[in-house]
Amino acid sequence: MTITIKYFGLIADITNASEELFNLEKSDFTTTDLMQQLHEKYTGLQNVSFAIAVNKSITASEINLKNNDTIALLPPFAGG
Amino acid sequence: METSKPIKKSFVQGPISAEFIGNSIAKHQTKTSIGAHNIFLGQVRADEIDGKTVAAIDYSAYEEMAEQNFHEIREAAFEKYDLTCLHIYHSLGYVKAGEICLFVFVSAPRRKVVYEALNYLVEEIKEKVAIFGKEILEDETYTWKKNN
Repeated sequence: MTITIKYFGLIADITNASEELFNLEKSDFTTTDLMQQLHEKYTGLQNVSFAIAVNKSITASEINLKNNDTIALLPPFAGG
Repeated sequence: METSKPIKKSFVQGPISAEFIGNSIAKHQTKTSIGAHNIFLGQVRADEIDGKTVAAIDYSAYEEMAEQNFHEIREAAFEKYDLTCLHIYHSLGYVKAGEICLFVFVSAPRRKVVYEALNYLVEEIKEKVAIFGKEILEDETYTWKKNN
């Protein structure tokens, strides 16, 4: 399956990209698995706090990802 | 038959001008059931960070999600308060210190709800909308802003 990961603000500074595609061989893959991979790839993520949105909804619990899902890593909000 | 309204766009490019705000007020003069308006204007503050002054904030957002967040906040406010109309505008891109980056405008037949509704809206926007602010310092270095 293919998933899209979006990065914003401080997180995009760390990943040096605003978006990337992940092609995964396996079909059972959760947000926790994804975070583990991202932390290995981008060690700078360990020092920052962010929320995770799956298909534009913020989620605190572990979710099974599906083909074509969009996951966003959102640093603290600063509107207003 | 009830039709669903299209999602209004809240983002504007760059600062929100006094003319834009003035025109927005003028447009409501035909809505004569309104007896009270209330307006919140967020202005970029020249904070001092580690001895350097903030010159501007460069706003970015997860736009598709943020427009959805604005829509949900707007619907919740209409549900909660007896409002005639409400408008939310937020800047994207570069807004210099002293310029306006947020304009929230609520209107109702009577005055009491406009205070409560406006406060509710501003707090919800700050907490729930996926907007990010890069504070550009006078020496062109930057830091990322966080809402408290």
